[in-house]
Amino acid sequence: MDKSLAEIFRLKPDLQDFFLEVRRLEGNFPFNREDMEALGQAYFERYPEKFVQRNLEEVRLGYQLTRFCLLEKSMAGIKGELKDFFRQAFAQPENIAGLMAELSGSGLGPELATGFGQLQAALDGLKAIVDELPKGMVKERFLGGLSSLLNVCYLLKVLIARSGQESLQD
Amino acid sequence: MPDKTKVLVIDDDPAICVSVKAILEASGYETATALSGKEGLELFRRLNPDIVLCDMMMEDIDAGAKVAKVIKEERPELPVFLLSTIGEATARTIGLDELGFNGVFQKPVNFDLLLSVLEKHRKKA
Repeated sequence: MDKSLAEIFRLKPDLQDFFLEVRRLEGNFPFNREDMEALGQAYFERYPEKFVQRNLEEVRLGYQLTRFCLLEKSMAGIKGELKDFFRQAFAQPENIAGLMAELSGSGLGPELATGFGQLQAALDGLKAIVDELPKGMVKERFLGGLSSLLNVCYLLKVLIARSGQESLQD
Repeated sequence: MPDKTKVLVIDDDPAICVSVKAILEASGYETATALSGKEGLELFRRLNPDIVLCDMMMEDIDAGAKVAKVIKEERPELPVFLLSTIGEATARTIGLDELGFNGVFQKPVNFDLLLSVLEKHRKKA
């Protein structure tokens, strides 16, 4: 990879194009403190923060941006079909039970717990980096994006545990 | 069988609203969500919730405090909790209880803790 996420963001005025470009990297991009700060800076250059009558659409784009990058990075090393499951699960947490049933039907159910463990560990590592970001709006957007991901992780953890108990009872 | 306990979640990030709603519903709560303080107050008056979870920075930097103030004027007994990226130390500094909040859950939220607190406010049979 020869461009940082901040550089890709600046080259792609359409956020969907940015997402496609980043998704192609399969999580193989550096995402340390400096990378997060640079991406945040690029975002705020395009969408400057206001503290009164904030533009909520632009604020939400910030959460979407950080969430997307954190999730893609945390899924590096997870195999394709399981990655697709996680992408759908994080996009539609209200449908996770149904998605898990589909996954079991496809024979990938037994791999879910292991893949989830990998993803959770990667997200915990990224959380440690976000925690070290200096106080300010870049950190706020990253914490927002991270929070919704960790919420879904909590739900996945509960539902995976429940499905394990149910299969023990069968 | 009592009615389910109703929780109103107010947060400007749809992903937070959807994920918190999914967790609360999996735990047996009826949950409604609003994406701004203004929408939150409309739902508060329409749905008569039992508990409110509210973000701070939404359409204004202090939108959550404005929501809590109005709710406490209209229903002082209603538990209103702040869901925010601010830490507990900051929360103490800004005087959460004076703003109308009964407590704060720092994002990323510890749901084991949040659910244990909500349990104390759940409608009893």
